[in-house]
Amino acid sequence: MTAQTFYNPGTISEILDLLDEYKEEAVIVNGGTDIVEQIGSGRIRPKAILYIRNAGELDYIREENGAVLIGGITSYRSMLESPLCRQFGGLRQALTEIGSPPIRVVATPAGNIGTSASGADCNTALLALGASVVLSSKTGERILTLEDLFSNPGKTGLHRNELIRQIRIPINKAARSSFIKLAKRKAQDIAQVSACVCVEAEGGICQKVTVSLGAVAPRTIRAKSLEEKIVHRTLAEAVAAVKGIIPAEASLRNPKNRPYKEAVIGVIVGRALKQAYADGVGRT
Amino acid sequence: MKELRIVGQRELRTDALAKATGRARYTADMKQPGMLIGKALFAAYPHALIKKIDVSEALLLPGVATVMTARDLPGRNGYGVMIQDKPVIVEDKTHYSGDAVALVAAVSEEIAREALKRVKVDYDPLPAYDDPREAMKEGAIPIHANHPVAENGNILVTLNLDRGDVDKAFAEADIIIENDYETPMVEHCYLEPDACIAEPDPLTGGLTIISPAQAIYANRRSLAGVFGIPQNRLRVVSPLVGGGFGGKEDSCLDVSAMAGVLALRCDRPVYLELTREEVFRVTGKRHATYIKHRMAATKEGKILAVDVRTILNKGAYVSMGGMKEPLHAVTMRTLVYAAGTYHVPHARARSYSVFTNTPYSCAFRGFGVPQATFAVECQIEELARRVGADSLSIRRLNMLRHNDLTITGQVMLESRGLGLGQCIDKVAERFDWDRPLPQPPGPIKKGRGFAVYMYGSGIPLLFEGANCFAHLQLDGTLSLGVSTTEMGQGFLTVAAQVAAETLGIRVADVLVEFSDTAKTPDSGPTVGSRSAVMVGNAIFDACSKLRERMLTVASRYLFSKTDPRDLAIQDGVVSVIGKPEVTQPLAVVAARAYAAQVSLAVVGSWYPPQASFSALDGQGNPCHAYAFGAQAVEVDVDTETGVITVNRSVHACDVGKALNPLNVEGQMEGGAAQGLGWAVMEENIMEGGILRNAAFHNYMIPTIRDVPDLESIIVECPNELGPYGAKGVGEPALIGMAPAIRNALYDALGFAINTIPLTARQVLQSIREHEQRR
Ligand SMILES: Cc1cc2nc3c(=O)[nH]c(=O)nc-3n(C[C@H](O)[C@H](O)[C@H](O)COP(=O)(O)OP(=O)(O)OC[C@H]3O[C@@H](n4cnc5c(N)ncnc54)[C@H](O)[C@@H]3O)c2cc1C
Repeated sequence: MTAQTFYNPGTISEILDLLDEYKEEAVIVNGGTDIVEQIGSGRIRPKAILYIRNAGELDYIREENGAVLIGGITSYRSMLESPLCRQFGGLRQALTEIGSPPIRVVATPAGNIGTSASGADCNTALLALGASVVLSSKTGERILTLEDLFSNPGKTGLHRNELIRQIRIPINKAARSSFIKLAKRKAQDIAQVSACVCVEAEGGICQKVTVSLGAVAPRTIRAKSLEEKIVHRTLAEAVAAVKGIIPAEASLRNPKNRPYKEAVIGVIVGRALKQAYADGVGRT
Repeated sequence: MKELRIVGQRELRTDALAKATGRARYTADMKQPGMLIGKALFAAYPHALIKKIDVSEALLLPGVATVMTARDLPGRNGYGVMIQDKPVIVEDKTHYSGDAVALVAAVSEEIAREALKRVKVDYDPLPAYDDPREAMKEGAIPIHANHPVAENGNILVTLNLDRGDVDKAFAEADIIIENDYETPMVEHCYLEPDACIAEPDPLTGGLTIISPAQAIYANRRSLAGVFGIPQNRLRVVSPLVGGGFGGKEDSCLDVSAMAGVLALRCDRPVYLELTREEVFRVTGKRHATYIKHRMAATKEGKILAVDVRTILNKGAYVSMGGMKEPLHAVTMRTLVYAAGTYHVPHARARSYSVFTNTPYSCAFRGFGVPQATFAVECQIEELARRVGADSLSIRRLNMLRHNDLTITGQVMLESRGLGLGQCIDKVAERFDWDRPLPQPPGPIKKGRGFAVYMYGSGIPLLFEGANCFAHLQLDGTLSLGVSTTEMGQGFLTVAAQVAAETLGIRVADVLVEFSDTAKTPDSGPTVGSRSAVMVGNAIFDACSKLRERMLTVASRYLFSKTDPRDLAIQDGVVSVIGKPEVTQPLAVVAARAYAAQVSLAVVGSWYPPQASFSALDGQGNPCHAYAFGAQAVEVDVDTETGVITVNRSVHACDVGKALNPLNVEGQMEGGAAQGLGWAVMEENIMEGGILRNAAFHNYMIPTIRDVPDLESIIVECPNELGPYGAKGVGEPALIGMAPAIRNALYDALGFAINTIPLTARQVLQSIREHEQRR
């Protein structure tokens, strides 16, 4: 460890004070499953470490105003145990694919957003579900959709003095979602390609859809070009339409894995769609 | 034979509790405050001339005890399991990225790292070779300027096997099958990273090396010269080892050499541990192979001849064995097993071991047999398809039987255990092999595959035989001493079982002292699936001697001259057979023996019949006994993503006698899982001698979710020369998985892929190419 000071703030306001005091030079440690390796290896050398896991007021999952609210230190395991979170099929599937049981005890969706890795599983699910984040700092608060946060990190991204205080997932009873991750092995692995779809359908025809993709661009992306091929179509038509398609939003640079990823994106999206339909979308 | 009471029982591991509670101590747990921390600066270029090294800045850093380059070494700048070709610190040329260029010892790890940053090295980089087929070409840059034993340029050795008239057999054959196979270099992935504590001993003027090691006496022999001390003053200790799989036969030399020279120079204890990335960078790997296999057969499927050419990636240094004398162990096995488990009258095999700039290749569970068997078992599958027969009937038709000669000319003997037929039958039955496998609709295709193997116990002509100490205490307990390593395989338990059974005491009354040159004689290295057999026999020898002595003493002094043959020892109590009421505790007998000047200490020894193998034509009797096995799997192949899922695995192994069935099953399951990793996911991404995936987040090994329930069937066809009939099981268990999976994939897809690992990317690409060809 190379940081000079370790803080263990117990409240949100203490966290915000410290973030303000250290400006760019503090780093938040939540579950630590991404960041501790960075600190330990010396790749980042923060002046202060803010270990926020003892700020109990950030640990909750509750429903309010048609949305499920998740606190800034809530773990994946708490989410998996929560019926509120389990109602989102795609999220539930994504959570069970993250790391391993010990990792899920400590790791958090806030950390997944904080890192915004290319193949982040929870981010992929949350993006398709239309989630947003509440970002707090000493000077105020802003609410951003994950789509905005990820699509333009330079402008709308997380600032170093901001705390991810809350994640909000809108509840949509008419929608079904599904997540599929393709990795090199069946656990403890980062996605080769992952997809989450969230569909509303009527009479077998898709009325509304969001498609998010992981591991095909520097951050999780929303693939509107695929959504256009799915909406207003039947399941079978949609699956056929996305097969073999490389969405315009993808940006694959590594020539080693590019052909493989390109070959499977459409397959994975098609399968996620089938799963969402099988889960009951459009049955009413 | 008398009924066995302890051998053959599912005895709980004697080390289980300490390990499961986290209280067992490994090398890293023995690090003490005040020890200097050793670190190495590894080569920035895998293949380069070193023009200049400047350590002056590093030496100025406060807290640095020493910075060493090749000029500062106390003894020979070269070590290796048998050939001393690996420098402790390279002098003027690097051969791979794991070569140490400079060493540092400092009061803390941070300072040691900082010091390394201040070492300035001028390199003149050369092109680096990853592929032995390139490195063996005419005109390739020689990797070693003056190698002590290399045959010719980058070719370390060519070994030949010639039997019968191969060309004639091919000319007369109905069927000829010719294919190229490739198997990858892979990492052992033992849990415990390599570490060493080196401590100068003021009393002896020598040095103590504590490091997880598979062969403490080989370490002593290899390293004494490096430290410039006599062998008897180099004490080598291996605490419990957190996994070795063959790798810690060499890697312990790497860390021990570095820590040792630092400790001698500073005259202080030094602790040196490799990070996981350094383990990937520095330590040995499984030999990658490129095999051209030709097989000639009759139209009925009887194999007439094989003609095999194998190129092995040796990496930067020799590791196990040398070339012809001593034999290169892994290269030799690619010849011996070139026809697998089959009776083949005519055989020609050429194996080339070739230096490259990758990490050195060394022993890895199976010693080249998995590679050779992969090719043969794929070929036999092809043969069955050509004949139009089930592959099991072709395997049975050709398998080695009593009195058959192998391609090395060795006579197969029922009395040494020939359980292949039983293994095939049992797996076929449990697996329900004859049941048709319906294909589900959709992109998932199902397939089934089979493979068989054999594996000789021991490492002939390099280090055979074993010794142990056995010392009966006056309370009737027994101290055993073996240099064998406990690396998770459960040897301590099996040793105690063999001793307890033979002497007639309880397992709990045996204590096994292990792997410390100060306490134990040379039992040989813990490799080659040899310990249960060779060391087991040495323990049997020692305990038989003690038993005889105790019975003689009991007869003479305590049982009024009852014929010793009418006495028995059981659970530490001596009694007259048939009269269980007349007893004496063994402790009383031992005390009587002590008083009567009868020695309670014994050296037990065992050596197998002299092995033979000619480097000229590959003929001889390499091993006294062979384990056999059969492996069947069922796989799902996702034809849209290329992902393979192994759904079922049934595996039978003829181990002669399962001294502890729980341990045997553990080995069989572990081997099968490790074989699965080799078959479908493990790959070293090597670019110009640099490993691009040197960490566990990008070097994939199977998790429990990637492995099906592994069904193991123990077959026991006793080896007349093994302790209670045992043969080795540690390595054989891995061999069948890769060819079985490849054959299952063939069954599912209808075309063959001959290169492993069968990663999703590779499989999908092959499917695409196959579709395009049609
Ligand atoms: C073995 C292993 C397996 C893994 N497997 C997966 C996987 O399958 N899928 C996957 O997506 N990821 C995986 N990960 C990565 C990691 O677990 C996830 O990204 C996880 O969500 C990170 O959460 P955390 O709480 O540990 O974050 P931390 O490491 O604590 O923090 C990550 C980043 O977010 C910032 N941060 C955290 N919380 C906040 C907050 N409340 N406000 C502001 N900033 C914050 C931190 O400053 C840091 O920059 C794995 C990691 C490991 C070690």
